[in-house]
Amino acid sequence: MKKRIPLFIVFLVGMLMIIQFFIPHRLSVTFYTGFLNWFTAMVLFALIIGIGTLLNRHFKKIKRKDDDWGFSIVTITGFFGMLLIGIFGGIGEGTLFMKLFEFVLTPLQATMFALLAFFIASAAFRAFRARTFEASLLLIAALIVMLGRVPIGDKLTFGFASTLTEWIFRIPNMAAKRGIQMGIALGMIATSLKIIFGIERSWLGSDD
Amino acid sequence: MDIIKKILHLDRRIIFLTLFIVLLITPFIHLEMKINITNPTRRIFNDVEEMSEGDPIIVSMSYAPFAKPELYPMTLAFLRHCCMKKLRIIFVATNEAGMSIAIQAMEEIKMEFEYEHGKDYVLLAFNPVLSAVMLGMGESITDIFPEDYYGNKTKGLKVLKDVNDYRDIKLLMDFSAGDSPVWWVVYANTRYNQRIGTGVTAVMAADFYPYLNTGQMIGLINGLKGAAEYETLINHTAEATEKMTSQAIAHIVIILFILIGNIAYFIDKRNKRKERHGTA
Repeated sequence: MKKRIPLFIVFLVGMLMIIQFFIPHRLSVTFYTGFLNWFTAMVLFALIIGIGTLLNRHFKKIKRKDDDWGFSIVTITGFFGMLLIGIFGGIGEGTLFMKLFEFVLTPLQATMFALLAFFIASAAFRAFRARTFEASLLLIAALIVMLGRVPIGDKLTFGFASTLTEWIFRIPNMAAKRGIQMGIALGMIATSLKIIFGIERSWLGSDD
Repeated sequence: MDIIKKILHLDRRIIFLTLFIVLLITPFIHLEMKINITNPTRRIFNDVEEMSEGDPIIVSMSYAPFAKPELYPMTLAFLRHCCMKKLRIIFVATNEAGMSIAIQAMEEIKMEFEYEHGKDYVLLAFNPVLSAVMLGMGESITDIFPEDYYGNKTKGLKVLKDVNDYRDIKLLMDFSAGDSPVWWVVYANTRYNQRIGTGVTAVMAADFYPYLNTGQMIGLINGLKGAAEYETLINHTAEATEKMTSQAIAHIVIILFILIGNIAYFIDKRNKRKERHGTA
Protein backbone atom coordinates (compact mmCIF):
# COMPACT_ATOMS: atom_id res chain seq x y z
CA MET A 1 0.00 0.00 0.00
CA LYS A 2 2.86 2.33 0.91
CA LYS A 3 4.14 1.97 -2.64
CA ARG A 4 0.94 1.28 -4.54
CA ILE A 5 -0.71 4.63 -3.78
CA PRO A 6 2.23 6.79 -4.99
CA LEU A 7 2.58 4.54 -8.08
CA PHE A 8 -1.12 4.94 -8.83
CA ILE A 9 -0.98 8.75 -8.42
CA VAL A 10 2.05 8.97 -10.74
CA PHE A 11 0.34 6.75 -13.34
CA LEU A 12 -2.92 8.70 -13.19
CA VAL A 13 -1.39 12.18 -13.32
CA GLY A 14 1.15 11.16 -15.98
CA MET A 15 -1.53 9.68 -18.24
CA LEU A 16 -3.90 12.61 -17.72
CA MET A 17 -1.16 15.12 -18.56
CA ILE A 18 -0.33 13.23 -21.77
CA ILE A 19 -3.99 12.97 -22.79
CA GLN A 20 -4.87 16.61 -22.00
CA PHE A 21 -2.00 17.82 -24.22
CA PHE A 22 -3.80 16.42 -27.27
CA ILE A 23 -7.35 17.51 -26.33
CA PRO A 24 -7.99 21.26 -26.66
CA HIS A 25 -11.36 20.99 -24.79
CA ARG A 26 -12.42 23.47 -22.03
CA LEU A 27 -12.42 20.67 -19.47
CA SER A 28 -8.90 19.72 -20.42
CA VAL A 29 -7.73 23.37 -20.08
CA THR A 30 -9.43 23.68 -16.66
CA PHE A 31 -7.69 20.52 -15.46
CA TYR A 32 -4.41 21.80 -16.82
CA THR A 33 -4.58 25.26 -15.17
CA GLY A 34 -5.70 23.65 -11.91
CA PHE A 35 -2.72 21.34 -12.08
CA LEU A 36 -0.40 24.32 -12.62
CA ASN A 37 -1.71 25.96 -9.43
CA TRP A 38 -1.16 22.72 -7.51
CA PHE A 39 2.30 22.45 -8.99
CA THR A 40 3.19 26.02 -7.91
CA ALA A 41 2.01 25.33 -4.36
CA MET A 42 3.92 22.04 -4.16
CA VAL A 43 7.19 23.52 -5.42
CA LEU A 44 6.94 26.35 -2.88
CA PHE A 45 6.93 23.70 -0.15
CA ALA A 46 10.12 22.34 -1.69
CA LEU A 47 11.60 25.85 -1.43
CA ILE A 48 10.78 25.98 2.27
CA ILE A 49 12.41 22.58 2.76
CA GLY A 50 15.45 23.81 0.82
CA ILE A 51 15.86 26.92 2.99
CA GLY A 52 15.35 24.82 6.12
CA THR A 53 18.00 22.33 5.04
CA LEU A 54 20.48 25.08 4.18
CA LEU A 55 20.10 26.82 7.54
CA ASN A 56 20.11 23.55 9.49
CA ARG A 57 23.33 22.42 7.82
CA HIS A 58 25.13 25.71 8.49
CA PHE A 59 23.90 26.04 12.08
CA LYS A 60 25.14 22.48 12.76
CA LYS A 61 28.49 23.33 11.19
CA ILE A 62 28.88 26.37 13.46
CA LYS A 63 27.80 24.43 16.55
CA ARG A 64 30.31 21.64 15.87
CA LYS A 65 32.98 24.10 14.76
CA ASP A 66 33.62 22.00 11.65
CA ASP A 67 36.23 22.98 9.04
CA ASP A 68 35.59 26.47 7.54
CA TRP A 69 32.71 27.09 9.95
CA GLY A 70 33.40 30.81 9.63
CA PHE A 71 31.96 30.74 6.10
CA SER A 72 28.73 29.38 7.54
CA ILE A 73 28.42 32.52 9.66
CA VAL A 74 28.84 34.59 6.47
CA THR A 75 26.14 32.53 4.74
CA ILE A 76 23.64 32.88 7.60
CA THR A 77 24.41 36.57 8.13
CA GLY A 78 24.00 37.20 4.38
CA PHE A 79 20.75 35.26 4.26
CA PHE A 80 19.07 36.94 7.23
CA GLY A 81 20.71 40.30 6.53
CA MET A 82 19.28 40.57 3.01
CA LEU A 83 15.94 39.14 4.17
CA LEU A 84 15.49 41.69 6.96
CA ILE A 85 16.81 44.62 4.91
CA GLY A 86 14.41 43.66 2.12
CA ILE A 87 11.41 43.26 4.45
CA PHE A 88 11.93 46.43 6.49
CA GLY A 89 13.74 48.69 4.00
CA GLY A 90 11.98 47.74 0.78
CA ILE A 91 13.44 46.37 -2.47
CA GLY A 92 12.85 49.24 -4.87
CA GLU A 93 15.33 51.66 -6.45
CA GLY A 94 17.60 53.55 -4.05
CA THR A 95 16.98 51.21 -1.10
CA LEU A 96 19.77 49.64 0.95
CA PHE A 97 18.77 46.28 -0.51
CA MET A 98 19.43 47.52 -4.05
CA LYS A 99 22.66 49.23 -2.98
CA LEU A 100 23.96 45.98 -1.47
CA PHE A 101 22.92 44.17 -4.63
CA GLU A 102 24.61 46.70 -6.89
CA PHE A 103 27.79 47.41 -4.93
CA VAL A 104 28.45 44.14 -3.11
CA LEU A 105 26.83 41.18 -4.85
CA THR A 106 27.35 42.33 -8.44
CA PRO A 107 31.13 43.05 -8.17
CA LEU A 108 31.71 39.88 -6.11
CA GLN A 109 29.97 37.62 -8.60
CA ALA A 110 31.48 39.43 -11.59
CA THR A 111 34.96 38.94 -10.07
CA MET A 112 34.37 35.22 -9.70
CA PHE A 113 33.19 34.94 -13.30
CA ALA A 114 36.06 37.09 -14.59
CA LEU A 115 38.56 34.62 -13.12
CA LEU A 116 37.30 32.17 -15.72
CA ALA A 117 39.17 34.11 -18.43
CA PHE A 118 42.48 33.34 -16.72
CA PHE A 119 41.72 29.65 -16.30
CA ILE A 120 40.52 29.40 -19.90
CA ALA A 121 43.75 31.02 -21.13
CA SER A 122 45.85 28.57 -19.13
CA ALA A 123 43.72 25.56 -20.15
CA ALA A 124 43.76 26.62 -23.82
CA PHE A 125 47.56 26.83 -23.77
CA ARG A 126 47.87 23.29 -22.48
CA ALA A 127 44.92 21.57 -24.18
CA PHE A 128 45.04 22.97 -27.70
CA ARG A 129 48.02 20.98 -28.99
CA ALA A 130 47.94 19.36 -32.41
CA ARG A 131 48.81 15.91 -31.05
CA THR A 132 46.32 13.96 -33.17
CA PHE A 133 44.10 14.64 -36.20
CA GLU A 134 41.04 15.20 -33.96
CA ALA A 135 42.99 17.50 -31.65
CA SER A 136 44.18 19.46 -34.71
CA LEU A 137 40.58 19.90 -35.87
CA LEU A 138 39.63 21.17 -32.42
CA LEU A 139 42.60 23.52 -32.43
CA ILE A 140 41.79 24.97 -35.86
CA ALA A 141 38.10 25.41 -34.97
CA ALA A 142 39.04 27.14 -31.70
CA LEU A 143 41.43 29.53 -33.46
CA ILE A 144 38.83 30.43 -36.09
CA VAL A 145 36.07 30.99 -33.51
CA MET A 146 38.37 33.07 -31.30
CA LEU A 147 39.25 35.26 -34.27
CA GLY A 148 35.68 35.37 -35.52
CA ARG A 149 34.32 36.59 -32.19
CA VAL A 150 36.32 39.84 -32.24
CA PRO A 151 36.31 42.59 -34.88
CA ILE A 152 40.12 42.56 -35.14
CA GLY A 153 39.90 38.95 -36.34
CA ASP A 154 37.82 40.10 -39.27
CA LYS A 155 40.29 42.84 -40.04
CA LEU A 156 43.18 40.35 -40.03
CA THR A 157 41.33 37.81 -42.20
CA PHE A 158 39.36 40.21 -44.46
CA GLY A 159 36.02 39.17 -42.95
CA PHE A 160 36.74 35.48 -43.45
CA ALA A 161 36.92 34.62 -39.71
CA SER A 162 33.38 35.70 -38.75
CA THR A 163 31.87 34.05 -41.84
CA LEU A 164 33.64 30.80 -41.04
CA THR A 165 32.73 31.09 -37.34
CA GLU A 166 29.05 31.36 -38.23
CA TRP A 167 29.43 28.34 -40.52
CA ILE A 168 31.05 26.33 -37.69
CA PHE A 169 28.17 27.28 -35.36
CA ARG A 170 25.46 26.62 -37.93
CA ILE A 171 26.66 23.36 -39.52
CA PRO A 172 29.11 21.09 -37.65
CA ASN A 173 28.19 22.40 -34.18
CA MET A 174 24.48 22.18 -34.88
CA ALA A 175 24.72 18.66 -36.27
CA ALA A 176 26.53 17.43 -33.17
CA LYS A 177 24.24 19.32 -30.77
CA ARG A 178 21.12 18.07 -32.51
CA GLY A 179 22.31 14.47 -32.26
CA ILE A 180 23.06 14.86 -28.56
CA GLN A 181 19.76 16.63 -27.85
CA MET A 182 17.71 14.01 -29.67
CA GLY A 183 19.47 11.31 -27.68
CA ILE A 184 18.69 13.16 -24.43
CA ALA A 185 15.04 13.73 -25.47
CA LEU A 186 14.51 10.05 -26.32
CA GLY A 187 16.14 9.10 -23.02
CA MET A 188 13.80 11.46 -21.15
CA ILE A 189 10.73 10.02 -22.90
CA ALA A 190 11.85 6.46 -22.11
CA THR A 191 12.56 7.30 -18.46
CA SER A 192 9.23 9.18 -18.09
CA LEU A 193 7.30 6.23 -19.50
CA LYS A 194 9.16 3.84 -17.21
CA ILE A 195 8.20 6.00 -14.21
CA ILE A 196 4.55 6.38 -15.34
CA PHE A 197 4.16 2.62 -15.83
CA GLY A 198 5.92 1.82 -12.56
CA ILE A 199 8.90 0.05 -14.14
CA GLU A 200 11.36 2.58 -12.73
CA ARG A 201 10.75 2.80 -8.97
CA SER A 202 14.01 4.20 -7.56
CA TRP A 203 12.24 7.54 -6.85
CA LEU A 204 10.18 5.73 -4.18
CA GLY A 205 13.31 5.23 -2.10
CA SER A 206 14.39 2.02 -0.39
CA ASP A 207 12.25 -0.16 1.86
CA ASP A 208 14.32 0.77 4.93
CA MET B 1 66.49 22.79 -26.01
CA ASP B 2 65.99 23.98 -22.48
CA ILE B 3 63.80 26.88 -23.51
CA ILE B 4 61.47 24.55 -25.45
CA LYS B 5 60.92 22.44 -22.34
CA LYS B 6 60.32 25.58 -20.31
CA ILE B 7 57.68 26.77 -22.80
CA LEU B 8 55.99 23.38 -22.82
CA HIS B 9 55.75 23.39 -19.03
CA LEU B 10 55.12 27.09 -18.70
CA ASP B 11 54.04 28.13 -15.21
CA ARG B 12 50.35 29.02 -15.35
CA ARG B 13 51.08 32.11 -13.25
CA ILE B 14 53.01 33.60 -16.18
CA ILE B 15 49.90 33.17 -18.38
CA PHE B 16 47.71 34.69 -15.66
CA LEU B 17 50.07 37.64 -15.20
CA THR B 18 50.40 38.31 -18.95
CA LEU B 19 46.63 38.30 -19.40
CA PHE B 20 46.18 40.47 -16.31
CA ILE B 21 48.64 43.10 -17.58
CA VAL B 22 47.04 43.05 -21.04
CA LEU B 23 43.54 43.50 -19.58
CA LEU B 24 44.80 46.26 -17.31
CA ILE B 25 46.22 48.23 -20.23
CA THR B 26 43.56 47.66 -22.89
CA PRO B 27 40.84 49.95 -21.41
CA PHE B 28 43.22 52.83 -22.19
CA ILE B 29 43.69 51.74 -25.79
CA HIS B 30 41.10 52.51 -28.40
CA LEU B 31 41.16 50.63 -31.67
CA GLU B 32 38.77 51.72 -34.39
CA MET B 33 37.16 48.48 -35.49
CA LYS B 34 34.32 47.83 -37.86
CA ILE B 35 31.71 45.55 -36.26
CA ASN B 36 30.40 42.97 -38.72
CA ILE B 37 26.74 42.19 -38.06
CA THR B 38 25.91 38.49 -37.85
CA ASN B 39 22.61 37.17 -39.13
CA PRO B 40 21.14 35.96 -35.79
CA THR B 41 21.61 39.44 -34.24
CA ARG B 42 20.15 41.17 -37.29
CA ARG B 43 17.08 38.95 -37.13
CA ILE B 44 16.28 40.15 -33.58
CA PHE B 45 16.82 43.76 -34.63
CA ASN B 46 14.61 43.38 -37.72
CA ASP B 47 11.86 41.75 -35.66
CA VAL B 48 11.74 44.66 -33.21
CA GLU B 49 12.04 47.13 -36.08
CA GLU B 50 8.92 45.71 -37.70
CA MET B 51 6.80 46.15 -34.55
CA SER B 52 4.36 49.02 -34.10
CA GLU B 53 4.10 51.52 -31.27
CA GLY B 54 2.47 49.99 -28.18
CA ASP B 55 3.11 46.36 -29.15
CA PRO B 56 3.73 44.28 -26.00
CA ILE B 57 6.87 42.20 -25.60
CA ILE B 58 8.15 40.06 -22.74
CA VAL B 59 11.74 40.46 -21.56
CA SER B 60 12.91 37.55 -19.44
CA MET B 61 15.85 38.27 -17.16
CA SER B 62 17.58 34.96 -16.60
CA TYR B 63 20.98 35.93 -15.30
CA ALA B 64 22.63 36.74 -12.01
CA PRO B 65 25.22 39.51 -11.48
CA PHE B 66 28.10 37.15 -12.38
CA ALA B 67 27.11 37.38 -16.05
CA LYS B 68 26.29 41.09 -15.93
CA PRO B 69 29.51 42.34 -17.60
CA GLU B 70 28.69 40.24 -20.66
CA LEU B 71 24.88 40.35 -20.76
CA TYR B 72 24.01 43.77 -19.36
CA PRO B 73 25.27 45.74 -22.40
CA MET B 74 23.05 43.69 -24.76
CA THR B 75 20.10 44.01 -22.37
CA LEU B 76 20.51 47.79 -22.38
CA ALA B 77 20.92 47.97 -26.16
CA PHE B 78 17.82 45.83 -26.73
CA LEU B 79 15.71 47.77 -24.20
CA ARG B 80 16.87 51.04 -25.73
CA HIS B 81 15.66 49.78 -29.10
CA CYS B 82 12.29 48.79 -27.58
CA CYS B 83 11.96 52.24 -26.02
CA MET B 84 12.83 53.89 -29.33
CA LYS B 85 9.98 51.91 -30.89
CA LYS B 86 7.72 52.77 -27.90
CA LEU B 87 6.93 49.13 -27.19
CA ARG B 88 5.27 47.98 -23.97
CA ILE B 89 7.79 45.96 -21.97
CA ILE B 90 6.76 43.19 -19.58
CA PHE B 91 9.65 41.97 -17.44
CA VAL B 92 9.72 38.50 -15.96
CA ALA B 93 12.65 36.84 -14.18
CA THR B 94 13.68 33.21 -14.17
CA ASN B 95 16.57 34.10 -11.88
CA GLU B 96 15.97 35.58 -8.42
CA ALA B 97 18.44 38.40 -9.16
CA GLY B 98 17.03 39.07 -12.62
CA MET B 99 14.45 41.62 -11.51
CA SER B 100 17.07 43.72 -9.71
CA ILE B 101 19.07 43.89 -12.93
CA ALA B 102 15.91 44.86 -14.82
CA ILE B 103 15.33 47.71 -12.33
CA GLN B 104 18.89 48.96 -12.90
CA ALA B 105 18.49 48.79 -16.67
CA MET B 106 15.20 50.68 -16.67
CA GLU B 107 16.62 53.25 -14.24
CA GLU B 108 19.33 54.00 -16.80
CA ILE B 109 17.02 54.59 -19.73
CA LYS B 110 13.53 55.39 -18.48
CA MET B 111 14.17 59.14 -18.06
CA GLU B 112 15.50 59.46 -21.58
CA PHE B 113 12.42 57.80 -23.10
CA GLU B 114 9.92 58.95 -20.45
CA TYR B 115 8.94 55.40 -19.56
CA GLU B 116 6.75 54.88 -16.52
CA HIS B 117 6.27 51.72 -14.48
CA GLY B 118 2.75 50.38 -14.87
CA LYS B 119 2.11 52.47 -17.98
CA ASP B 120 4.94 51.64 -20.40
CA TYR B 121 6.66 48.78 -18.62
CA VAL B 122 6.01 46.43 -15.73
CA LEU B 123 8.23 44.32 -13.51
CA LEU B 124 6.35 41.15 -12.65
CA ALA B 125 7.14 39.39 -9.40
CA PHE B 126 9.72 36.61 -9.42
CA ASN B 127 8.17 33.18 -9.19
CA PRO B 128 10.57 30.28 -8.55
CA VAL B 129 8.32 27.69 -10.22
CA LEU B 130 9.59 28.34 -13.71
CA SER B 131 7.78 25.66 -15.67
CA ALA B 132 4.45 26.67 -14.09
CA VAL B 133 5.15 30.31 -14.94
CA MET B 134 6.15 29.54 -18.50
CA LEU B 135 3.09 27.37 -19.06
CA GLY B 136 0.73 29.52 -17.01
CA MET B 137 1.48 32.63 -19.06
CA GLY B 138 0.02 30.77 -22.00
CA GLU B 139 -3.33 30.69 -20.19
CA SER B 140 -3.39 34.06 -18.39
CA ILE B 141 -0.50 36.39 -17.51
CA THR B 142 -2.44 38.25 -14.80
CA ASP B 143 -3.58 34.98 -13.19
CA ILE B 144 -0.05 33.66 -12.88
CA PHE B 145 1.18 37.12 -11.78
CA PRO B 146 -1.68 38.66 -9.75
CA GLU B 147 0.76 41.27 -8.39
CA ASP B 148 3.76 43.08 -9.86
CA TYR B 149 7.20 43.38 -8.22
CA TYR B 150 6.00 46.27 -6.04
CA GLY B 151 2.82 44.52 -4.93
CA ASN B 152 0.39 46.38 -7.23
CA LYS B 153 -2.50 44.39 -8.70
CA THR B 154 -1.63 43.53 -12.32
CA LYS B 155 -5.26 43.49 -13.45
CA GLY B 156 -5.99 47.03 -14.53
CA LEU B 157 -2.39 48.09 -15.21
CA LYS B 158 -2.28 50.21 -18.36
CA VAL B 159 0.77 48.36 -19.69
CA LEU B 160 -1.17 45.08 -19.58
CA LYS B 161 -4.29 46.41 -21.30
CA ASP B 162 -5.52 43.83 -23.84
CA VAL B 163 -2.67 41.53 -22.88
CA ASN B 164 -4.01 38.19 -21.71
CA ASP B 165 -1.60 35.48 -22.78
CA TYR B 166 1.16 34.63 -25.26
CA ARG B 167 -1.17 35.26 -28.20
CA ASP B 168 -0.96 38.98 -27.43
CA ILE B 169 2.83 39.06 -27.09
CA LYS B 170 4.84 39.92 -30.20
CA LEU B 171 8.17 38.62 -28.95
CA LEU B 172 9.64 36.98 -25.88
CA MET B 173 13.28 37.93 -25.44
CA ASP B 174 15.26 35.93 -22.90
CA PHE B 175 18.63 37.22 -21.65
CA SER B 176 20.28 34.21 -20.14
CA ALA B 177 23.48 32.80 -18.68
CA GLY B 178 22.05 29.29 -18.54
CA ASP B 179 19.67 27.00 -20.39
CA SER B 180 16.45 28.98 -19.81
CA PRO B 181 16.04 29.77 -23.55
CA VAL B 182 15.55 26.04 -24.13
CA TRP B 183 12.76 25.94 -21.54
CA TRP B 184 11.07 28.92 -23.13
CA VAL B 185 11.20 27.03 -26.43
CA VAL B 186 9.83 23.86 -24.84
CA TYR B 187 6.99 25.50 -22.90
CA ALA B 188 6.18 28.78 -24.67
CA ASN B 189 7.10 28.10 -28.29
CA THR B 190 6.24 24.43 -28.74
CA ARG B 191 2.93 24.61 -26.90
CA TYR B 192 1.81 28.19 -27.56
CA ASN B 193 3.79 29.18 -30.69
CA GLN B 194 5.31 32.14 -28.86
CA ARG B 195 8.08 33.84 -30.85
CA ILE B 196 11.33 33.54 -28.89
CA GLY B 197 14.56 35.50 -29.19
CA THR B 198 17.55 35.18 -26.92
CA GLY B 199 20.68 36.94 -25.77
CA VAL B 200 23.27 34.67 -24.20
CA THR B 201 26.86 34.49 -23.00
CA ALA B 202 29.31 33.53 -25.76
CA VAL B 203 30.19 30.29 -24.00
CA MET B 204 26.53 29.16 -24.14
CA ALA B 205 25.69 30.34 -27.66
CA ALA B 206 26.66 27.13 -29.46
CA ASP B 207 23.92 25.27 -27.55
CA PHE B 208 21.13 27.31 -29.11
CA TYR B 209 21.98 27.17 -32.82
CA PRO B 210 19.80 24.08 -33.45
CA TYR B 211 16.75 26.12 -32.36
CA LEU B 212 17.67 28.96 -34.72
CA ASN B 213 17.73 26.68 -37.70
CA THR B 214 14.33 25.18 -36.92
CA GLY B 215 12.80 28.63 -36.43
CA GLN B 216 11.95 27.89 -32.78
CA MET B 217 14.10 30.91 -31.98
CA ILE B 218 13.91 33.89 -34.28
CA GLY B 219 17.38 35.20 -33.46
CA LEU B 220 20.26 35.23 -31.02
CA ILE B 221 22.56 37.89 -29.60
CA ASN B 222 25.83 36.14 -28.94
CA GLY B 223 28.00 37.46 -26.10
CA LEU B 224 29.70 40.82 -25.95
CA LYS B 225 30.33 40.81 -29.70
CA GLY B 226 26.59 40.34 -30.28
CA ALA B 227 25.91 43.26 -27.93
CA ALA B 228 28.37 45.42 -29.91
CA GLU B 229 26.56 44.37 -33.09
CA TYR B 230 23.22 45.43 -31.60
CA GLU B 231 24.68 48.76 -30.49
CA THR B 232 25.90 49.29 -34.06
CA LEU B 233 22.45 48.45 -35.44
CA ILE B 234 20.68 50.98 -33.20
CA ASN B 235 23.41 53.59 -33.80
CA HIS B 236 24.19 53.89 -30.12
CA THR B 237 27.79 53.03 -29.37
CA ALA B 238 28.13 52.12 -25.69
CA GLU B 239 29.78 49.70 -23.28
CA ALA B 240 29.94 46.61 -25.52
CA THR B 241 31.63 48.42 -28.42
CA GLU B 242 34.10 50.00 -25.99
CA LYS B 243 34.91 46.61 -24.44
CA MET B 244 35.59 45.08 -27.86
CA THR B 245 39.19 46.34 -27.78
CA SER B 246 39.89 44.50 -24.51
CA GLN B 247 38.23 41.34 -25.78
CA ALA B 248 40.05 41.52 -29.13
CA ILE B 249 43.50 41.95 -27.60
CA ALA B 250 42.84 39.26 -24.95
CA HIS B 251 41.82 36.82 -27.73
CA ILE B 252 44.97 37.65 -29.70
CA VAL B 253 47.13 37.03 -26.59
CA ILE B 254 45.46 33.64 -26.00
CA ILE B 255 45.92 32.74 -29.68
CA LEU B 256 49.61 33.68 -29.44
CA PHE B 257 50.01 31.48 -26.36
CA ILE B 258 48.37 28.58 -28.22
CA LEU B 259 50.59 29.08 -31.27
CA ILE B 260 53.76 29.33 -29.15
CA GLY B 261 52.72 26.17 -27.31
CA ASN B 262 52.23 24.30 -30.58
CA ILE B 263 55.51 25.51 -32.11
CA ALA B 264 57.33 24.37 -28.97
CA TYR B 265 55.48 21.03 -29.10
CA PHE B 266 56.55 20.36 -32.70
CA ILE B 267 60.17 21.41 -32.10
CA ASP B 268 60.27 19.13 -29.07
CA LYS B 269 58.78 16.28 -31.12
CA ARG B 270 61.35 16.77 -33.87
CA ASN B 271 64.19 16.89 -31.34
CA LYS B 272 63.02 13.68 -29.71
CA ARG B 273 62.84 12.00 -33.12
CA LYS B 274 66.37 13.16 -33.93
CA GLU B 275 67.62 11.86 -30.58
CA ARG B 276 65.99 8.48 -31.23
CA HIS B 277 67.59 8.25 -34.72
CA GLY B 278 70.93 9.36 -33.24
CA THR B 279 70.94 6.64 -30.62
CA ALA B 280 69.76 4.02 -33.15
